[in-house]
Amino acid sequence: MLNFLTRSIPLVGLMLIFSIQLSGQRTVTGTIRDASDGETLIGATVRLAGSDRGTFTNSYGFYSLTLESDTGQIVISYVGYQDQVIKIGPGVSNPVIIDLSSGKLLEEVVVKSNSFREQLGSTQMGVQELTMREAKLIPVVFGEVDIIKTLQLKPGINSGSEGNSGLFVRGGSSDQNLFILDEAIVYNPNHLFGFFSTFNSDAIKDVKIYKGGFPAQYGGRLSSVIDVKLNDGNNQKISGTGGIGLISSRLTLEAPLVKNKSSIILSGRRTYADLITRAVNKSNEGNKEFNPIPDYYFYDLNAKVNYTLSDKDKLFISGYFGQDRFGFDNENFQFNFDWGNVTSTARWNRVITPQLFINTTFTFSDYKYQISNELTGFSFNLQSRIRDMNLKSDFTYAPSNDHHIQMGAEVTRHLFTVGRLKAGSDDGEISFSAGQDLDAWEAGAYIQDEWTINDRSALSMGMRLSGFLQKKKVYGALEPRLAYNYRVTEDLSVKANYARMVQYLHLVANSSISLPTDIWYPSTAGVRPQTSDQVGVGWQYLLGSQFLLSNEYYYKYLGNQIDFKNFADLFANDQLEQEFTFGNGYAYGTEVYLEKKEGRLTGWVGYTLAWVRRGEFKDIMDGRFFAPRYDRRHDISIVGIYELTHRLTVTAAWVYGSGDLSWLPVGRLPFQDIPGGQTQPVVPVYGDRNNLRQPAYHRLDLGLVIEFSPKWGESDLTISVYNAYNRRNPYFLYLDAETKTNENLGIEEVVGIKAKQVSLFPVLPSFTYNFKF
Amino acid sequence: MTSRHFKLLLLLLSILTVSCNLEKEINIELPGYTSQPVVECYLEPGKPYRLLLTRSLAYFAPIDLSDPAALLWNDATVTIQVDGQNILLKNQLGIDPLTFQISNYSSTDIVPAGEGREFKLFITMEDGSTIEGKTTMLSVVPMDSMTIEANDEGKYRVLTYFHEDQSTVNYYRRMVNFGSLDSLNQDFILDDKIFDTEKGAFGTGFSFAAGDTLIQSLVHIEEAYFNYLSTLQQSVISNLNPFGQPGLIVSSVTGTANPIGIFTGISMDRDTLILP
Repeated sequence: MLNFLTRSIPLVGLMLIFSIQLSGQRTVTGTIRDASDGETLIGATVRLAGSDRGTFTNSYGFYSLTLESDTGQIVISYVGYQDQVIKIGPGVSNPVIIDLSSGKLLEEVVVKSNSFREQLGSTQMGVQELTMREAKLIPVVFGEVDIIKTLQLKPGINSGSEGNSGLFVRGGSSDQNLFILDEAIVYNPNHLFGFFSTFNSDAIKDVKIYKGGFPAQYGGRLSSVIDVKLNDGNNQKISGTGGIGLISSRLTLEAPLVKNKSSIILSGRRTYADLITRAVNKSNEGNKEFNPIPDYYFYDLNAKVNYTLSDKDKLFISGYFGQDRFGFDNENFQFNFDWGNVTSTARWNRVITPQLFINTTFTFSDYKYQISNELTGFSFNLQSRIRDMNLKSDFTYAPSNDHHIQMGAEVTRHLFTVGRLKAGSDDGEISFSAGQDLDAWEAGAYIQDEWTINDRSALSMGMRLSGFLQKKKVYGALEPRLAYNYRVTEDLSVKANYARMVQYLHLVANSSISLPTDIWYPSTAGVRPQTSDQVGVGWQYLLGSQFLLSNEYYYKYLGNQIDFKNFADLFANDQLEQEFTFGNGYAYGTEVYLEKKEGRLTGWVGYTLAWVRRGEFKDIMDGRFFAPRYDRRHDISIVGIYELTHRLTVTAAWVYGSGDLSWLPVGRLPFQDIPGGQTQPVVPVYGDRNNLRQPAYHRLDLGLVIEFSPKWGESDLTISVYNAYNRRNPYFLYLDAETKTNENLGIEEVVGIKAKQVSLFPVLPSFTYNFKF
Repeated sequence: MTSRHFKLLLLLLSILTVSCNLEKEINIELPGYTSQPVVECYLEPGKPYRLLLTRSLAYFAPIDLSDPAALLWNDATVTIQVDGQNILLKNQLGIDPLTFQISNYSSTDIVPAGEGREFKLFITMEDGSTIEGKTTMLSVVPMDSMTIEANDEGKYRVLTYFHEDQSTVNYYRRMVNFGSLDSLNQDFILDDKIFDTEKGAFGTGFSFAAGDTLIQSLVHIEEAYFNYLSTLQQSVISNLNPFGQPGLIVSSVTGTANPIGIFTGISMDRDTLILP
């Protein structure tokens, strides 16, 4: 690995030399914040007045802009906020902290932003941003705000199945997404088998999903990066938000610890179906006819504290704790199934010079599931776990307005417990066990320069060097990232990009639906890292000042893909690797996206045309290529948010997708079995994978938000209808055989065969009361 | 409540009623399928040789209830070789009067006992294609002891123990029949990879009452039979389970006739227990 690193250093050095700062200029630096609560704003534009040249605030609200002389004017803009012009004179010193006022404060002012123009000039492709306003207004199932489900409405992103929070991005599988919460990896972003995600929207500041053109700072997954930033907490006054819904309630409290210097945010969410089922169980105690209802609930807790140590230093500590708990007790056994994530982040921001900003982070991530059962005299316990400790430093260096350099390095320690089973009698006479413990090191270093070549062209060059060590096996890879943007006219730009990604961890999941028992497994001597190479080209066109039309074409090659052998045994298996089979894949398609961000009507129309294939697996279909279940040819989403009055907003989202694929049996055989066994008149015989396309999926969701202005703050009632026209969308298909006993032969005979479709959600109205003070 | 309100309520109720029906029959067209011969042959020491040769069908193949024997595949030549001797099984429909097991190829010869004895199956179909199989008779693993426990409600469970040979890889099938062999209460297969000690145990739940009759069976099975049973059972489950991952049935027979099926010896310990 050392040789590998040594070979790469000249390349990194070349990129640094490329970006030497010119002298004799003044650099203004600082942070951009929301005036009302002191929250830093990510992605706010800071530009020179009268020019398109400028920069953006980074993930921590920090900016650095170089002026041609000692004085000048800078313009700060951000969607939903009033533009602000700041005069920079000789008396103004760094840091220049700028507080923007929300546009909502100005009743009749149309809040404008140059965000579309900035997108036109950016090299970044394949990225979708989600505002918390969109996430909160767009109706989803049971009225539960869910950023992942809202992201599924964006082009190029599929859900695995109805109601599922899994993401299948540009032909990638659901384990090829990197979920980051305040820099810490979330290994299982789902509650309740994927019907809800682990992200509580009240605590979230910013969500970005990268589908392609990945910045070099990200690595470790092939298909997407979902970067979620938590709010820092109100450093001006005590405030709170919350909501009461059909499924769960939530509450977030924010307060300054030291005004303008330090704040805290605490956020919690919990479902309460178990409170009802417990009451029902209790009222039926002693009723022998009554079967108790199992207990289930989940909860999320987010906490974050920040402290401004000096003008140049800021400290953040944040944590997430989420659990799903399923329990079923009676006098004979106690069954418990718990799973959840814990993440924690300690972060230190420091402005070293006006051009150089450093962020150093230590994160801890832990995902664990545990199944236990206590029977009289016997016990059973099965668990799997992954724990990460990560240390990284990221530098942002802006030697001039034409070069924006990011570089950094990180190292991660991974600890795995895979299918650890312990079972046996209490006296120890009978004992069963299985499972394995593994560990690995992962490291990465990167550098990337956003180079504004001239008024028309911009080039982003990045290189990531990654390595992985498991036992004595070392893997290393260079992951180049390139993106180019050419502004053809003021309103039209064309773009192209290339990114190589390497994934060293693999999810052992034998279903397209997210299950808590899915296991993470490292690359080993026998399991090589997965790779992807993605190229994209596209264009963006500004229609008037309010609409941005984008069109991207992509091709992605996926190497060393992992699938499972026929009926793989993934349960408490010490020899898990023997169940793997390795192949390749590819995906290609085009995405069209028309977006409107301003005015009373906002929303988007997205269309995706895509193909996905996997193949060359020695143990699957003799190596032939096949389409995975989520190979969806057409995908359309139309989302609209319309402010009828300042108190009344209506929303609508319509989605259409070609049906997913099902793997259905093609034949059947009779099975007699040995005496005392189970005769089965119909045993399905399966042929090629994913051999039938399900009926198309479409659905309309409607929402109405009525806002109130109580004396103590703000509140609203959100009424939503999921699947408004009650479409029976396929959840899964199966073949049903009706049998009856032949009295003469004493055997079961098949008298009818039918194909059945099972749907999950009919029309579902829901209500949520939200408040803010 | 006004008449208008009442109509509105009725409309809402009818919407909810309709919306709750989440399963429906649909028309689909499955890819084409060519019928395959299906072999079931269990060699039980002390019992005659019997084999059932049937055919698989396309899933939606028409069902002719007037001719249930249409599933049987006749006119094949079936031979089993043991100890260097070839035993020809005649093509004749038979039903075991005790177990009601059906066979369409059989012989009056008796399957010899003997751990390690090897049996080979040769079938030639009428078109000349072939099916072959091989099995080795395993030792019988006896259920050496059991305990019966009662809970506070007077329900019983049975814990059955056996000696697990840790020096070899073993596969087991455990069955519990309730009352008679027609009524299956428990049936599962497992390998011995997870056993830490030589004391193996199986248990029932607290499901039985005094006077109940349980027929307990412990079958020491070959890996090939384990694979066949597990893949066959998973095929059945996967069809009905949205979380399931289907697959291909792993047969112990091979040949140019592209068969599915099992050819295996049965080394079984079976006891009948009447709960006190």
